[in-house]
Amino acid sequence: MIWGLGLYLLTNEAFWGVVAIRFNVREGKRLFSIVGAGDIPAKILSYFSASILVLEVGTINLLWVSIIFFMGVYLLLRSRRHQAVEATDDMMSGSAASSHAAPVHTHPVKKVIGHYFHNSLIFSIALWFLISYCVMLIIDYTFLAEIKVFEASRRQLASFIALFFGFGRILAVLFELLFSSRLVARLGLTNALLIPPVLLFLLNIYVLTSGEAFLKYLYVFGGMVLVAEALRYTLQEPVVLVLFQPLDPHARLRGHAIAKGYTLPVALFLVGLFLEIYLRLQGELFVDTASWLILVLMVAWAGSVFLIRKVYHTTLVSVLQKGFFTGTRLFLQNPAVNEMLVEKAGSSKPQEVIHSLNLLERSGYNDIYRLLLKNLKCPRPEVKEYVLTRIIENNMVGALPLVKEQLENLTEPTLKPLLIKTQYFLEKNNGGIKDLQHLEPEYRKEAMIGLMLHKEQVEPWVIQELTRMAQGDTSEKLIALNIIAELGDKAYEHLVAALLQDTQPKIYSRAIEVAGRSKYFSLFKQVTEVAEKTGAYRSLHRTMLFYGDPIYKEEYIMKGDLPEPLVNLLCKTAGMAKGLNSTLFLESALKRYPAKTQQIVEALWEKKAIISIGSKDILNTWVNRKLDQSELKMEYYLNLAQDGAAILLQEALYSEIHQDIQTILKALALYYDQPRIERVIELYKQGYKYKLSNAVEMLELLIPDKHFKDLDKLIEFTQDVKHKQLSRGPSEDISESEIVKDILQRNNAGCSAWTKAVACYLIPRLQDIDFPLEVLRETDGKEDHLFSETKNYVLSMLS
Amino acid sequence: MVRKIADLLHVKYGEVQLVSTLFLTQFLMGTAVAYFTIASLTLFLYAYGVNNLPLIYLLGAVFLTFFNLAFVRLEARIGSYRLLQVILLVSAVSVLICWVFLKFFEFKLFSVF
Repeated sequence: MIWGLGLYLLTNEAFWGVVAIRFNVREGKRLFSIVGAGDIPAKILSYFSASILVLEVGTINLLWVSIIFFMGVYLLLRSRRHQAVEATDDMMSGSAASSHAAPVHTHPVKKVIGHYFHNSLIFSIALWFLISYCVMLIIDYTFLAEIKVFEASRRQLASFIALFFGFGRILAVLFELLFSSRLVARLGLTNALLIPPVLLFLLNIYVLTSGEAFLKYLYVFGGMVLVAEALRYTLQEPVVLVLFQPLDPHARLRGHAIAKGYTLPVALFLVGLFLEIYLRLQGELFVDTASWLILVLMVAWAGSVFLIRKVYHTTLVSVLQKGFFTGTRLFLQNPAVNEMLVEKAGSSKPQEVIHSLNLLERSGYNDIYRLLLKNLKCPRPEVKEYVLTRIIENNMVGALPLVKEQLENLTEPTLKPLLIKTQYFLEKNNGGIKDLQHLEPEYRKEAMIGLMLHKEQVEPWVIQELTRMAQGDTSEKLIALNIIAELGDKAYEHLVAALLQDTQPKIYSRAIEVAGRSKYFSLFKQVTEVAEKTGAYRSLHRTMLFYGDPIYKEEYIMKGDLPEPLVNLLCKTAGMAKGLNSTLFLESALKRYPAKTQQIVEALWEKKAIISIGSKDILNTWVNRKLDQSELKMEYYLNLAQDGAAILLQEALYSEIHQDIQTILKALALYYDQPRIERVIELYKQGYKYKLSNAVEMLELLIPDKHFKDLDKLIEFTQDVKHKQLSRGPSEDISESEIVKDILQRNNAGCSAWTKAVACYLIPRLQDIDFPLEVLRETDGKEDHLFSETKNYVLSMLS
Repeated sequence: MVRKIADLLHVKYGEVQLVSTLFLTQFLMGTAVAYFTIASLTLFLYAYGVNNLPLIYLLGAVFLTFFNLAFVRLEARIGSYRLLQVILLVSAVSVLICWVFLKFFEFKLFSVF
């Protein structure tokens, strides 16, 4: 009898241990109930056949069947020592490196949980198992006590037990077929765990509220045993085991051992002790006492489900979290730290020197000037460059002799412009224009910048010289623009405005960039006009990055329909700008330019925008449409899968679906839990199967069911394609010609220009199967260049 | 046919062999455990009656704790797949020993264990 319990526990634990480390959480959801379902026909066959066999061979000889089957499964596993072993060992060795160290807990309760249960999820599931086992044992005992009353012989008793449990398994099969996976899908993992306590609670309430009768008790408790048995194998154990899957394989195995292995003995001990004491005092266990006890346990059982739900959510979040390096806090006022930094300032590593000098300056170190000047003699050009920038920034006039000395004994020619700029800055040049004339253009520019860095104290002749240069030849104009760009002074806006009108591309392109760099907002209208007229969109893109968020204010952005390249650019750069104006612009663009939604979503996501309810509604509709389109692309892919020659189109469609998933996730991140969905996107991009399964599991908790189901289907699809596991056929048959026609004409799937071009490229091959060529002639005028080229090529081939 | 069943059950192509092995393992193991449970429960209830069941629970608690400790140590040492094989072999041998004792030595106390 005891060994019977031991066999049940050990075989079960060992089997699920193997299963658990072989599958991740998503696979577990799909496959655990199938793998576990092997137990149901086994039990049906055994219990029914045993009820007949026992009458023929006797109870003891039934053990031979057990021996034969144990040997059978042993030989099966020896002969099929294939993927299960390899994958298991791989996963274990891989996880050893990646598994997280046990968390350090400071709270006393958490400390105990951490020590004995490794983490809170294992603890909560172990608690759930403990209560579940206690309930089962009490129900089993009450039922066995009832049937023992009317047993006759040993063979009849064996036959009755076998038949009874046989019916239990039929009930389990029915439940498995009719409800199990649907219920789990509908209620979610953790909520599904409430079904057994609720059902047993109702049956128990019936016992407590109806009158006394022996047969009624026998049947109701029999019913409870059957329900409990059926639910245990089809629902409880697979679901609970799936809940462990987000943990790393080592923690999973530990969870299994604790939750199933350790809780059963504890439950046996608690129930055994209670019954032993109770029976000694009362003589027998009364049904109403058992019912009340079960009722209390049911409430606790249901309560433990809520605990699991909470902890499961937290666990998912934590396994998906990035590790953040917090670093060491540096106490800059600490003399010991300063001393260390001064020492580091003399290091041979330039980065170390620069970092130390920077920290010392920020800490207000008294002797920083001396230390900076000392480092100007340092042989490393990076250090010299840093020191020169600090000399200018701090207006260290005393450094002039040393700067001149450096110029005279120049060892690093690349430093000459900066040295000249510093020298002129410190001297404030009183020698006038003559001093500049002997300099080469590159150095003259640096000298001018050095002179003009004093802003309000700039000599009039310097401004005159700049104005002259802005009206000079091409190279002088460019130098003037570069000087203005570096100074960023409002005073020179008129010069840039004039240079915007220049006819030379070099000049107006540079002027466009300088306008943004110097933040000449009033010139923006002129800048866009020039860019639009000349097609200098690359310069416009750069200048908009310099302008940043303020340029998206209503006063600068033109009303009415903007040209498409400008809209593209505005959307793209708005994503990189930080601030409310660009967000408001993007939100208004959602309404004004629905065709640009994908681009706008990318931009909003890029800048981690918080959007209004109106925008959420628009995005929600867009997400629904995008999901439908992606599903259609998936259908196309599956239909094309039957034809190897269409592989190029398949690849294009796959790539689009892959992209669509990311864009949809980005859109969802804008109105659900942004940081967590961002993590999902990151893991999706990485494509690491184990973590991705956890990420998708997390996603299920973050977004509504309607979105999740479709998205899950797409993610599964991409994973299947990636791992060459695609086994699904199309839900409807569409011919290759129809697909090409759909893509080129209606484009209901919203395919990109590239995919359209690839579809077009397939046409010559489809001529044999009667492809209507007019499709190509019917396309509208707004064609992408790439598609247009492909179309012309195909038409020329066919004619 | 296999492909269609696999599709119906949402089992992917690459998983079919593994899932079928695991399903078969669970089936055979379930049958073996079920026969042993029927025999042991019947023998115990017939010999001692239901009132002694709590004592079995208490004894079971002690034994299972030891079994479990041994299980965890062995799993760490030899891995879960090999452990499953060892447990199956030990189970078959132990049931055979049970049969020998029950068949040839009318020893009533043996049904407890």
